[in-house]
Amino acid sequence: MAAGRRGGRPGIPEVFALIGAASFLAARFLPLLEIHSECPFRLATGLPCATCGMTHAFVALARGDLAGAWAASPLGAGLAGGAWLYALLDLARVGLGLPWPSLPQRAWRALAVATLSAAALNWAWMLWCARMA
Amino acid sequence: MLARCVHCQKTFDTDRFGVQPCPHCGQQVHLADPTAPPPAPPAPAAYPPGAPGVPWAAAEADAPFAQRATLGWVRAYLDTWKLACLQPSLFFRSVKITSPGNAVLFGVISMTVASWFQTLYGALMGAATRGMFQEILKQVPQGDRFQDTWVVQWMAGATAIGTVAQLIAAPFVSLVWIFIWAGIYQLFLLVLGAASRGFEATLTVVGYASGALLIGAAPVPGLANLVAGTWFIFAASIGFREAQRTTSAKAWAATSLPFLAVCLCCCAAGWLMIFGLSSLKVHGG
Repeated sequence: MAAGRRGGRPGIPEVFALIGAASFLAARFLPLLEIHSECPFRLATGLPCATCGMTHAFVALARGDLAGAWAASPLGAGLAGGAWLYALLDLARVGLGLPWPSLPQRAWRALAVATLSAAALNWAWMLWCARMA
Repeated sequence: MLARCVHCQKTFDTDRFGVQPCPHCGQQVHLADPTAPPPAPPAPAAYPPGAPGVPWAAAEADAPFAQRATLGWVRAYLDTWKLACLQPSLFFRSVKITSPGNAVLFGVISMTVASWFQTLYGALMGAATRGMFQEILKQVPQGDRFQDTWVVQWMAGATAIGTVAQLIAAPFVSLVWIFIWAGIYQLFLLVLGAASRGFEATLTVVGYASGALLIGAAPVPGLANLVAGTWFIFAASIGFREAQRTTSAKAWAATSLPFLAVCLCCCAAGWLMIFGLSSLKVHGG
């Protein structure tokens, strides 16, 4: 990951923080659930896809409904919470003038494996829930 | 002995071999020694080509787009587009990864222009598209749930507000798209152990490879996007291999795996569309 600000311009971490903050604003203030974007995979098979429930999870969490967010998609709830927490932490880091923490490649790889594993587990959970419903 | 200059073709006397100046034109002339042993064959490569850790000889240079202040925006963009999309192997092997902002800007411009053209086509064909789309939705299971919703209006580009909103949102959506997809690719590259040069390299590749999405501006809705997406995958795969100094297999895997998940949804959407169209034909006939 890039080392934050260079020459006063926002770096890669700040852009991701802005995206995280924008996702909160969109989930909180835009009528995203009125778009009714039904998942084509669910329509065709009756089963949820790997990313089903993400929008509902983001919107529910932005409105403080933790249980609703978890029910919609545990990964979505975690992703939303993580993204917004990251945005806050990065804002604080920039405000305090701290450098971007340098993690070793092994740590990044472990994070990536954990994220993809969480995505796979989430899909399995969603499929199981759909089967039990 | 008598020697002949390869530059001025004049002859001169000399008593030695090797590099020496021509007494007539002053150019350096190399006179090979016929009794010298043949040059030794090059040592075998310590690494197979494309393997991690290969000592890549190519010197890194800025993309032409990074020199737009001197080249001009149009020429810098076109030169970079040709390199990134037509010679991705050469380009991504030697492009500098320390300034991914240029790559992101390049990608945002490409995607925004393509999006604007698509919005224009959508606005021009709005009424027809809307009618056809609503007919299809009538045939699709639960399709009536979509009738008169934002999604129909958005797909058809029917409202002026929707069209303006798409035009304004295009650069921001493009920016988010590039960063999100770069992040997803980076996840897979990390898991595969193919991210030796970090996120900057991944972001640089996604940014410049997004130039291929400009093809989506062609006035062939649907097909243009399909070609653009396929071209993007090819350019990005080659780009990851070269920029991350990894193998072809890992680069292609990192590019393909996320798309397989997306394809699962796209195939389902395609199936629904075909089902809807075929039903439409039956009812229409």
